[in-house]
Amino acid sequence: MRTLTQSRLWHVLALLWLLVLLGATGWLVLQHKDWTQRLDTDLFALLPRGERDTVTEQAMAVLAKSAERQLIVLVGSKDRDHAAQAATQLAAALKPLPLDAQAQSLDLATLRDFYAQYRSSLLAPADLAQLGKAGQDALLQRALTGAYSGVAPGALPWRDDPFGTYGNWLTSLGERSPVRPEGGQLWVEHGGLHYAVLSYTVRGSAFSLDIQRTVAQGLEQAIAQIQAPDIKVLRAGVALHAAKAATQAEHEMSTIGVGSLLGIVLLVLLTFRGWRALPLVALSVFTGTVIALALTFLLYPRVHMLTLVFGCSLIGVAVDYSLLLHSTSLGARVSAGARLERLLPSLLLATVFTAVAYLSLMLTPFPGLAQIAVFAATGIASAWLSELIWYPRLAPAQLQAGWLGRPLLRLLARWPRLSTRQAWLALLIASPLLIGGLWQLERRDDIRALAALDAGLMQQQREVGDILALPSPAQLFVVDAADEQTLLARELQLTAALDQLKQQGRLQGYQAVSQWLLPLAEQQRRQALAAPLRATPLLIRLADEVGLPPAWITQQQQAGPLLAPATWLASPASLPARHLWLGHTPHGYASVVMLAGANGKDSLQALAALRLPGVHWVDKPAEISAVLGRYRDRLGLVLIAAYILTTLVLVLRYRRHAWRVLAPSLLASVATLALFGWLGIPLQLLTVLTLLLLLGMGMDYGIFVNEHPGEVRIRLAITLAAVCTLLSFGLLAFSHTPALSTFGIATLSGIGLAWLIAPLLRRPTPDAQLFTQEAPTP
Amino acid sequence: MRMLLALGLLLLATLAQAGDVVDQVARQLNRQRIASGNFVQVRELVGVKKALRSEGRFVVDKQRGVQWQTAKPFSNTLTIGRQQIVQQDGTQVLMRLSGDKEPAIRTVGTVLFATFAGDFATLQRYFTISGEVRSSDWQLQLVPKDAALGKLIGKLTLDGSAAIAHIRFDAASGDITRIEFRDVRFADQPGADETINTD
Repeated sequence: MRTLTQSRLWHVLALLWLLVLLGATGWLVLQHKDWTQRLDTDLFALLPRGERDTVTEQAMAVLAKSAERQLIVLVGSKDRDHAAQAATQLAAALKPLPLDAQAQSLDLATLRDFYAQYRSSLLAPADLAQLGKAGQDALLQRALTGAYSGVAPGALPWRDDPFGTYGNWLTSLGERSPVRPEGGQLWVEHGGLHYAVLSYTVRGSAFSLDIQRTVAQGLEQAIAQIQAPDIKVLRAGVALHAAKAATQAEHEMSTIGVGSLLGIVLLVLLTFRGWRALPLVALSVFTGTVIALALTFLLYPRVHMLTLVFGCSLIGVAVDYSLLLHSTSLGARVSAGARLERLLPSLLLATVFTAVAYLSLMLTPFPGLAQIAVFAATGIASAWLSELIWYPRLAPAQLQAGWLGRPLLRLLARWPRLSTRQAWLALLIASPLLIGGLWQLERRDDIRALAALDAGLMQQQREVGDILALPSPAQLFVVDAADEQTLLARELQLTAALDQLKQQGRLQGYQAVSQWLLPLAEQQRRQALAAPLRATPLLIRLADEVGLPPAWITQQQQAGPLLAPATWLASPASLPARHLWLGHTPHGYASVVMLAGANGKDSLQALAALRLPGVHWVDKPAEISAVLGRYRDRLGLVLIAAYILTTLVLVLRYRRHAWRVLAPSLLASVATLALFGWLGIPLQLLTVLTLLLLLGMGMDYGIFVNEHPGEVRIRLAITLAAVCTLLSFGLLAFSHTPALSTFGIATLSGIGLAWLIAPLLRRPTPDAQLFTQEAPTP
Repeated sequence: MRMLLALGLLLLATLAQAGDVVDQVARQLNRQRIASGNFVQVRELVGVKKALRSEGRFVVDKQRGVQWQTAKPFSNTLTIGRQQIVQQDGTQVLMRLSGDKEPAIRTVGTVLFATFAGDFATLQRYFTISGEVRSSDWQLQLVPKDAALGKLIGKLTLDGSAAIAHIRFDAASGDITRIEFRDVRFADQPGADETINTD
């Protein structure tokens, strides 16, 4: 008698699937070079694309782009000469690396020459406050003192800046950055140390793993080689974090991959006598991995490292089906094909639930999670297809229990079953623990959970940011208005408010276009304020005192031109602030005001509370955390809906026993949440996603156990499956990426409990063995 | 023979590297803590016909700072410490630049202080120093090491023997300042009217 699995169709399918597998393998091998280069380590790639208007998003993207190439090294010492010596050594050692030394963006002479034309409206804060009060005699004295004994080394000849106002303005520019050029080197002082500043941009693609590695390792070596006493080196750069994260991810991938593979091989060899169970297990893991990899690289131009780390843990899920089939073949007298056909309904149901659970990751706006979903669903589906198509041909007709298999079978045969009343009683006893845990569970989503940032590097990054007063690309203001002049005026209102925060010590500084380019109305106001300096009687007295020609008086009487935005933008003098000018947008004009040293909750709250016309506060980390939180709640609802929907489906098949299938997942989920409450791990988006997966996987156990409640070998199958899953996901608990580690812990507890609970709640039936009689079951 | 040797040394001295010149000048300078005397400062400003001449007294305390008391044409006191620069008109403070707020002031203060005090080790950090030494007289040119700074500062020329006799400052703007020191006296402790208050 020919069954379905022995039919011609199955034969063709088996060949086709083999061709697909060989094709995918060949393609991966051929593309090997290409796809290692397409590996993405960019942390930002995981974040959701913005839900806000494009202008802000564009601005954020541009700022992030320029920030991610930057590499800054500070070489500090109490003794300046030591620091200078070490910095020179370090700079020389960094020469061969793919780094471009960053030219000083602020050329003082260029600035001086450009702004000199507009000096009549450029006044330092002190002059702005004093000029109105000074009388003619005082002004004359001020000019003469400058002429006879000027100390400030010259911005302009005394003749062109007799009252020194322009010189004062240029000096006041120094307040915007603590960095000072000295002896051909940039210096900054902080906490009693002299730091030499080395600033670089990473050449080539900032997210090429090769380049990141070369830079990070080269820098490490160069620092180790410094031969000067008491040197403190601080480094900051996105490339360094990325290199560290990539190395860690690779390390984890190999640990998790090798660890779970070894565990599974050992488990299979010990449970089943001989090696004959192994090839199919290996084949399904191989198929799952290869097809998932190929499809992911085919679909996505860049594949994130996290996808692969997570993907490695899938090995433990992909073996489930072959373990199930092998377990039921222990002592079987029925052909492999017939066994498969008998188990097909439960297999199909289980796979669909698991794959759908993984695909639910795609419901989030996070590209990283969507990629993981595609990888996982493909991997599971192809592992399942392999079993379905090849098992009848390749499986040994019969397997015998091995060294570990026999005692396990004996043990599992004695697995207790709880009556409905006992089950309620057990729940009642456990409920205080569960409720207590749930009570303590807090909901918190933090973007940092997604990134495995090295604490040491992060600390250095923060220190460098503090010392150099670097503006943060994460929190800033976007200002917009219908026209350029209104925009600048609105910026001025904002910077006035920021000045107050600065005085309160909540802010170290800020960068704004209006620091360089005042609105025309304000330029006119300042010119008017400085009018006493252009008064004819004063100029005549001054010319008499020192001997200047009448032409000079005429020249000094002129107020001079005003600086227009177009002129400013066209000049190299706008270079220090041009990145802040977003220019013409669909709604008018916009600019960015960046902040430095706005650390701490209080500062951020004070900044977020500023309400000014056309001023928008952008807090990227908070925004992403909010998105994470929103999706956590949304997915919570999806989870509840999924339970309701599954219940309906299960009731159709299992009637009043449906709860036995569902309860393992549900109880395990509640218990996991309670455990998180006791452990103080907050409920995050990824936890909810884990619970969705738990619904899918935990239900597998429920389905298998209740489809064949009297069959001890099914219990063996789910035990093996659970152990494999625990092995691979459990290893994820040791990941340095907090999110993956939380995921690992949640799976450990959830899967472990679901596996323990499922057999306890199986349907009441006498023990019955499948496939031990010659005739196939109807 | 002795004559030849001396001649040879002299020749060597003029050909010597800058570092050696600085060492030699430093060796010639008096090492006592206090130097005080009178000064005459003449400024030649671009486009200004009159040479602006001022005079007064100065005190250099190698431990505390420099005090620059202009008496003519008007009275004015400039105190340069390592941390701040204060300009006073009688008792009224006209200008106070603090190094806490602006590290550049510390640099300016350090350079001015080092210039008057003949602290060449410090000056070499900021300037490329070249020059020549002839028996007891010497002359040094100081050019800023930093090219960008050079566009603002120009150069400094110093000459003297046991003490600095003249300083000439050529600003990049074209304004020239010449200072002549007279009646310089040295002491180990500040005199009654020579205490510099730099706090």
